[in-house]
Amino acid sequence: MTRYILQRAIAMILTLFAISTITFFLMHAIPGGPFTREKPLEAAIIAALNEKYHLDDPLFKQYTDYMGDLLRGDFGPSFKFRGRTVNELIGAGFPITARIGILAVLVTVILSVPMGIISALKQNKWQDYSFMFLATLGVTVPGFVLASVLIYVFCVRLGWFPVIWTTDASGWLAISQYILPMIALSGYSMSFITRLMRSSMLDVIGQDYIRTARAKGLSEMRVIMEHALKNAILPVVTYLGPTIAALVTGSFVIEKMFTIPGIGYQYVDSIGNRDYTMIMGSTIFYAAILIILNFLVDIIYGFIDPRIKIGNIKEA
Amino acid sequence: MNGKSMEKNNPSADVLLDIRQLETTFFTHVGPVQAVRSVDLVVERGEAVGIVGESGCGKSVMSMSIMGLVANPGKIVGGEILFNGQDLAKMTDKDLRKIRGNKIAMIFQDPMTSLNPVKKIGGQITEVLHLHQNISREDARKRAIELLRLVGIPSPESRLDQYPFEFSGGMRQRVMIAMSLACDPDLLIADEPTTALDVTIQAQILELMKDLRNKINSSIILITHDLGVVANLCDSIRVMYAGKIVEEGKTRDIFYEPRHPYTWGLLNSIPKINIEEKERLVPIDGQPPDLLKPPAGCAFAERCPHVMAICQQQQPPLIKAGQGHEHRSACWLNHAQAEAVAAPLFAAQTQQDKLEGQA
Amino acid sequence: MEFNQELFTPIQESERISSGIVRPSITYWQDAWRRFRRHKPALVAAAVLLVIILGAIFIPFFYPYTYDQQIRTARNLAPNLQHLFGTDKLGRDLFIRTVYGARISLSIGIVASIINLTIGVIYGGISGYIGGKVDNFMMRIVDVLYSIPLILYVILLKVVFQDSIKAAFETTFLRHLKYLGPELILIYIVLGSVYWVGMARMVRGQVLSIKNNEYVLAARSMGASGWRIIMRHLVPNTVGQIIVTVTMSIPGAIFTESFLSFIGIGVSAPMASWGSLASDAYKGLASYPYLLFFPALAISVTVLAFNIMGDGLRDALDPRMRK
Repeated sequence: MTRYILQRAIAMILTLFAISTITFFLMHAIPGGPFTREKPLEAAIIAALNEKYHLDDPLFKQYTDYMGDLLRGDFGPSFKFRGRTVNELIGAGFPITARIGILAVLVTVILSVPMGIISALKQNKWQDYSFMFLATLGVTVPGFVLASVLIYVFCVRLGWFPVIWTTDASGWLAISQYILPMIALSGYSMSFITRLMRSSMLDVIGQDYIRTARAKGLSEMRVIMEHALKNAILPVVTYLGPTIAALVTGSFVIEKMFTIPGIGYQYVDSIGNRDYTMIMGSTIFYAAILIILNFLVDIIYGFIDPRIKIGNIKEA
Repeated sequence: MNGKSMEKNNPSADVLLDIRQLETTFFTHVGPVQAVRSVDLVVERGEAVGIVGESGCGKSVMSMSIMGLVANPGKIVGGEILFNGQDLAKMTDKDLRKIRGNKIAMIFQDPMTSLNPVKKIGGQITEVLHLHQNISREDARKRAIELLRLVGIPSPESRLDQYPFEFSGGMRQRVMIAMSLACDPDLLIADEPTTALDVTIQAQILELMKDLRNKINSSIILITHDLGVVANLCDSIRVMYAGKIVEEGKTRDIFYEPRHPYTWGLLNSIPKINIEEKERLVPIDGQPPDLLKPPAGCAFAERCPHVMAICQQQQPPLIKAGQGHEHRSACWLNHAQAEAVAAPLFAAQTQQDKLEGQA
Repeated sequence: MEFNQELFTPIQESERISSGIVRPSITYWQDAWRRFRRHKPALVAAAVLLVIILGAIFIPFFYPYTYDQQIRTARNLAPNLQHLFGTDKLGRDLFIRTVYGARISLSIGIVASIINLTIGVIYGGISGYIGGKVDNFMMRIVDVLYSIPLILYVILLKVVFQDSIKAAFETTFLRHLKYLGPELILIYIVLGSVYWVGMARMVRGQVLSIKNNEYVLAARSMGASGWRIIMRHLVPNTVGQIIVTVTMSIPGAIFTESFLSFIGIGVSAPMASWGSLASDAYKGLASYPYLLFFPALAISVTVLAFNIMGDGLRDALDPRMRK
C-alpha cells in the first residue's frame, strides 16, 4: 500500500511539473505577445509594459522565474485587470465553483448509484427502461442543452429560480441559485454513473461467487447487499476521477450561462480578453486541482480494494 | 416412454435423497430447452454417488435443481425431489434457504472465481455458520479454524483473516470444502470440484475428499466428466446423457461390466499409457442432440455404432443389465429380444487396469 | 415387454436419422455482417446517420437559401413552410444553417477521429511491437496523459495557434480551400492530436496479443499456415476493435466541438457548427426557443445514433460471440 501511494505521489509531482512547463511554453508561443491588440498600442507603451513584466528577458529566465513563483504559489499579475493578481482572482472565484462542484458530486453519487442498482435488479422491467431512457438522454444531450432547457422551463416560464447570480445573496435566494446549476452540472455524470453502476452490477451478479453465496442459503437481499455491492462499486469509484474532470469542464459552460463568477467563468473570460497570465494560471490551477483530486481518489480506491490494500498489485 | 426404473429398490430408512422423474426446462427466447428429461436418482445415507457425463448432459442443472438454484430462465417443470420427507421441488425459496448451506451444501467448479474477492475467508465461512446456527462470534471463529485445519490448510488462525487472492487454486478449493462442511450437511454436492485444477492438485483434493469421507457423515454427489475421479471415490455411478440417466450401478459394475454404448465410448476414450502398441484415441463420433427438439427415440441413437430400428423410435427405459444387483442400463441392447453385443475388448481391458491400479 | 422382433434389427449408416444440420463455416466478416443485421436499433441508427450524411452533402445544392444569406424581411420567424426551422435575428434560414452545421460537426467528428486513429495506431503500434522498457516508458506517458484534463490543452492549443494559422492560410497556397477555412483546420488538428490516448492503448493491446500468438505459432513451426491463421483470425479481431473504437470516438469529438463552440472557442461566424448555432440561440432563448431546439436535436440524434450503431458494431464484431 505504501508503495502504491508513493508511486502515485511521484507520478503526480512529475505530471504537475510537466503541465506547468508545457503550459508556460505554449503561452509564450503566441505570436505577438500579450499586448498586441486589435488597435495596436504605441511602441513606447508596449516597450514599457514588456519591461515591467519582464517580457524582454530571455525565455529561459522567464521560465525559471515563473516556476520559482509557482512553487511559492504566486501566479503573477493579471494583464487584464491592472492592479490585481491572478491569485486574487482565482481566490475569489474558486470557492463558488468548488461549492457547486461538491454539491454536484454528492447529488450524482447519491442518486445514480441506487438508480443503477435498481436498474440492474429489475433488468428489462419498467424501472430499468425508464432509468436507462433518462440516462441515455443524459449522455447524448449536450450539457448546455440540458442547462438551456432547465433555464427555459424553470426560470423563464415558471420563474422559480433566478438565472442571474447574485453574490452575497441571503436566505432563499442564496440557496435556490445553486440548485439549477448543480443539476445542470451533474446531468452527464449522473447518467454515466447510472449506466456504469448498472452494467457493473449485472456483471457482478453473474459471477460465480454470487452463486456460492446463494448456495449458502443467504436471502437475495443479503446476497446483493453484502456480496454484490462491494464488488460492483469498484468501477464506479475508479470513475470518480474522470467524473470530477467532467464536472470541471462542465463548469465553463454552466458558469457562463448562469453568470456565476467562479473560476470557470473567469477562465473563459480570460481567453476572450487575452489575459495571458490569467489563462496560464487558470490552466495550471485547474490541472493541478484535478491531478491532486485524482490522486486522492486513487488512494481511496486503494483502501477499498483489498487486492491493493494488501499489496498484491499483480492481481488487481 | 419416460425412463421409469423397471425395478425399484425397496424403500428403506437409509434413503436420504429420492429424486423422481425430475424435469427441468429452460424457457429461452428460441424455445424451451429440456435440460433434465426425467431423472430418477436415489442417494442413501453415507453413500457417495458419482454422476458422469459430458458438458451439457444436464448433470449440473440437475444438481442446481436439487438446491432450487436453477438460473433464470430455467424452471423445474415436473417430478419430485424428496429429501428428509419433504419435496424440495415444491418448497418456497424461504424454506429452501434454510436447507442450503445447512442440510445440503454445494461446492463448485472454479475455485478462482467462487469466492468473494473482497471479503476475508474467515468472514465467508462464519457467515454460513451465523446464518444457520445460533452461535457466538468466538465459537464461530473457532469452528472456522477447526474446519480449515480439517481440510489441510496450515496456520489456519492467521489464514482466517486473509483474502482469497492470497490463496492458490488448490487452497481455495479446500476453503470451499471447509465452507460447505461448516454446518455438517447431510448431503454434499460437488460439481466438478477438480476440473479447474492442475492434475497434481486434483489428486490432492481427491485424497482430501476420500479422507473426509471417513470423518464426516455426509452423503456425497460427485459430478464430473472424468471417469478416473469417480473410480476412486464413489460407491455407485450414474452415467448421464442428454438430460437422462443412461446407466446406473455400483462402481465395480460400471467399470467391469459396462452395458451401454455411451459408457463404452467414455471408457474407450480414456488415454492409456501402458499399451504396447500405439493406439489412436477413440473419441465418440458426433455431437449430443439439440435439447430444444429432443429426438423421439434414444438420444444416443445417432452416434451409436449398434443402433437398431427400435432405438430411433422409442426411448429405452432403464433395463436390468449385467450381474450387479442395482445395475441398470437404458439401452435396447439389454432387452431380451436384442442380439447380444459384447462390450469392446478395450473397455474390458480397462477394467482390468483399474482393478490392478486399485489393488 | 414384447416388441415386434423386426425392431431389433441393426440400422445401416445410410438409414440413420440425424438431427441437426452441420452449419457451414463462414468467415468472420460474413458472420459479423449477419449479426449486425439482426441488431435492429443499430440498423435504424445506421440508416439515420446515412440520411444525415447524405443530406449534409447534397441538400445545399437544392435548397433555395445559403447559410449566410440574410433576408431582412424574414427575421425571427418561427418554423413555417418557407423556412422549415425558422430564421434567426439576421434573417438567416435555420434549416440550411443546421445542414451546414452537419457538414462542419460531422467532418470534425470524423476527421478528428481519423487523426486520433492514425496517431494512436503509430504510437500504440510502436510501443507494442518494440515491447520491453520502451513499451513501459511509453505507456507511463499515456498514464500521465490520462490523468490530465486534456480539454484545457485543446483550448490552449486553439488559442495559441489560431492567429498563426490564419496568417498561414492567407499567405500560402491553402487560401484555395473555400469552405474549410483556417479555423476549422485548426480544430481538426487540435482535436485529433490531443485525444489519441485511448486509441493508442487499445492498439498496443492488440499488437501485444498478436505478438504472443505469433510466437506460439512459431514455436509450433506451422510454417505458412501460421500466417493464414494470423490473417484470418487475429487481424480481423484487431480491425474490428479499431472500427468500433473509431465509431465510438466520433460522437465524443462532436460533443467536444459543440461544447467549445458554445463557449466561443470553436468556429466563428458566419460559419455555423451546431455548437455555435446553439450558442447564438441561447441569447434569444426566452423568445425564440426553436433556434436552440433544432441544433440541439441535431447533436443529440447524431450522437445517439453513433452510440447505438457503435454498440451494434461491437456486438457484431466481438469474436467471442461467434456462433
